[in-house]
Amino acid sequence: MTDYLWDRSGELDEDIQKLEEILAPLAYQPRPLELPATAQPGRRRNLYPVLAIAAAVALAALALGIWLNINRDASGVPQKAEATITAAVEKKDSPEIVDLPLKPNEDPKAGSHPNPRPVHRGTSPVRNQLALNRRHDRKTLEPQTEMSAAAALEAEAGKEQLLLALRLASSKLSLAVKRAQGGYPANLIRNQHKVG
Amino acid sequence: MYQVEATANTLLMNPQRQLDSASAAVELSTEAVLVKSVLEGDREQFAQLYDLYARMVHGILLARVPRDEVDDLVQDIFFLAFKKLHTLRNGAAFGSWIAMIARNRAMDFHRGSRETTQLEEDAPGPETNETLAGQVLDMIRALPDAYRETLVLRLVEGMTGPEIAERTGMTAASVRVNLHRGMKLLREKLGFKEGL
Repeated sequence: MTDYLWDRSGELDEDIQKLEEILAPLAYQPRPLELPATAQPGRRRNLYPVLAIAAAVALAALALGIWLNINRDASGVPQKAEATITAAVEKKDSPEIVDLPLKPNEDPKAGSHPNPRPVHRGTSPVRNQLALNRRHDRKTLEPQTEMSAAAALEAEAGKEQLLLALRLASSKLSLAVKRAQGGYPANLIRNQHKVG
Repeated sequence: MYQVEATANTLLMNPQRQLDSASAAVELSTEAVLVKSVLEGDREQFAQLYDLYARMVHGILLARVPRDEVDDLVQDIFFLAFKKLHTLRNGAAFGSWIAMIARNRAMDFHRGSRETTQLEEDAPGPETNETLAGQVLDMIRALPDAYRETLVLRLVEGMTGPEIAERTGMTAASVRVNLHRGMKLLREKLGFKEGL
């Protein structure tokens, strides 16, 4: 093979030259480019605002989830037990709950709790109910019907936490909207990173 | 020692190759600059890209679609490229990018068009250079896909092998192989003897 086919160098190849002459009329004839006057090239889509909005929404959802979880934990067993006791006291006569002295085989230091475990005397239904409630798992307890003052305070604190989280999410959203509208250069952080 | 001399010959005694590679590098950067200018709003710069690549796009289409459709399709492809230019991340790769658009557009043309016959080629008449060119072109189109595009760019559009590689983004080795194998098949079809 000659180099004439590759870059027209070397010895002239008559077959190729003949083919070039035959095919010459089909070659490209220069013609001006006709673009519509209103045509404009598209613009690169900046995904940063979309990602910022998505991150803010995810943050708000996370804050809500955490608050709900904390609130559920705080209003768990103690409130339910207290509500059960209240209901039982209202129904039945007042029970006799007496602190019995410790048995000889019990270590007094081990039970150094300021409120030693009360021992119930007799077989009143209230005592049975209390014992049953202590054994029950928190999931098996009946739904709460009343809310104590402490629980109300906790709920109020949780509500404030939620409002704070929503305020934070709102500020993030407004920042993202400002960036989407061109308020800040999109690559500000990236440039700082490069300089640093 | 012999290898050292051969390398020296390759590097120093062939200034044309050095010139080709240097001009290719300059042109690559030129394309990147032109693409950037167009994206920044200077749409007149797109005409220079058109001047650089219209011949290549014409050749790619001529290897695949009927001749009378080629000129309109060239305009369509450059209009499409103008609108989608923002999706091109590397401006230096404009050539391979628009070559791929042209190949896809040719496939779309065949999907959307019904079966047509070109009466002018079927009808008997005097064998002018134009009809002979059409017959040779049909023979080239009957070759495998990889060969016909390279051969059309070389024999019809008059581009050299290095120029084809640079414009289409293919490697020089691939272009060389396609040219030589395609030319061998074409010679067999035309009845030329090898080396004549």
